[in-house]
Amino acid sequence: MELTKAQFKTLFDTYYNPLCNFCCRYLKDRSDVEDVVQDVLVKLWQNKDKIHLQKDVKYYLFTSVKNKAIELIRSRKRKGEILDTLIPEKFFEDPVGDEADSTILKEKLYNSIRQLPPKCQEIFVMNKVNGLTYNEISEELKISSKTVDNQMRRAFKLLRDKFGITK
Amino acid sequence: MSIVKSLKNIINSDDEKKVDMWLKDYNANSEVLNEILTEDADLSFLKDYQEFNTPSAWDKIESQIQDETVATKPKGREIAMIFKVAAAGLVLLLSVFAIKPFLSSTSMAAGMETFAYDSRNELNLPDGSSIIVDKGSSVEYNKLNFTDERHLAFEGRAYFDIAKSSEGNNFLIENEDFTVEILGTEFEINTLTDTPAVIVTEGKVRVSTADESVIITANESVSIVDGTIVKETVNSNNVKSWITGELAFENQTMDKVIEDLEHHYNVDIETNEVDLSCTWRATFENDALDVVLNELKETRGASYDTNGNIITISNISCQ
Repeated sequence: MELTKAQFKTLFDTYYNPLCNFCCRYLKDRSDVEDVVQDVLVKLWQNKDKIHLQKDVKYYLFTSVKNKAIELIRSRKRKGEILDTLIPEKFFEDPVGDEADSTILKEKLYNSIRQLPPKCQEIFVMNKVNGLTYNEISEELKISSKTVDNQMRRAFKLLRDKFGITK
Repeated sequence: MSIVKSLKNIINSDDEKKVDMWLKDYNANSEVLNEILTEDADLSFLKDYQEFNTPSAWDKIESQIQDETVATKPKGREIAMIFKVAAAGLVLLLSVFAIKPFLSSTSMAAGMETFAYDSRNELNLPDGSSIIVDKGSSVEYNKLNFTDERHLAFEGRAYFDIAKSSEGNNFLIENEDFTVEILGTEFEINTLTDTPAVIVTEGKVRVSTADESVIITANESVSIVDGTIVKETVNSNNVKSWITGELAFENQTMDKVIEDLEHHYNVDIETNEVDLSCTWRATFENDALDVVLNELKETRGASYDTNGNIITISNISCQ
């Protein structure tokens, strides 16, 4: 696989956060999560000449992160550091593809929401992510519900523009 | 409202570029986004989405990127499998668990193909052989000369259906402990345990270590115990249970039950005050080990204790 350092940096910047979030399905500890993801990305760089990808690099990365995370859990179980068997078997069965795509979608949404103007962003998140009604938001932020409504329209417009959705 | 807080962070200029790139790469997603970004959309699935510090992670790993010859981790069990085929339409069953991540294996020649699987999959090889590869497995071969030299490396667990070679050329398996030469058969290899084993269910196989060589046939197995080949008779209908997920005990004695459980779940089971001649009748389908142990507890009054990969079963007497 041809990969320059600059391309690798872009890959790293693009996938680091979604991979970490994906890895959180398997590992609770944030530093474990980051270790696993960094390890996988570094391996990709070190083995770039040997890897022949059949599909998009994202599937390779997500699969490797999953395998690495499970490997870590198993090795801890073997060493007796984890005594319970709380990991549902389905974690070992689920195909990674869909999960990779949905994590990437989340990353995309998350990033775009972060780029909304502060007030707009706050209101959008309160309503769409945390499920507060316009009335609840207007009480909480001490603004009129007309303002909430306006900000929401603005948020949708900005997001749609961002994603090139015409509506 | 943790996301509110994290989203309040100052937007850095990289985000702009990042999302533009997403859009470029993932145009296919715009349809999904079109559906998501409606007035009544529920984005509560973003609630748990976290932000990790990408720049600081990059700083941490950048030194390893500069130096490509950075020290690699100590090697685990190296699995290099080579097969030899002597008869037509062979089916073989391999179960090789490697501890070492596949991609850190030693240098690969040109033409090497590597496949990594996260779910059960079928892979068709250039010579017409096919492999059912279990989740968490990787397969590697050289596509340039595979039909001449049928060498295959893999880790994980796989079921092989080996095509007859018109040139009669070899299909070889070898690993750190032994070499397997396939003489027309159906069998399993497991190198995860302390005593790596080959179990034959059909036909025959030659197993060789550096010092010894032995041929085993149907319902026989060999284990490598401290470097020595130990041949045994296999009396189990659960040899393939890890593939089918079905584990059946038809009034089997406890010693056989325990052997099958160890094999199926790849664990070590120790016993304490267990009458190994007691029989047990039970069937399981894709059940976790806990379920089996609980059943044993309920039907046989056994107690069990888990310590890492070692399970101790206690107090079974025949009633």
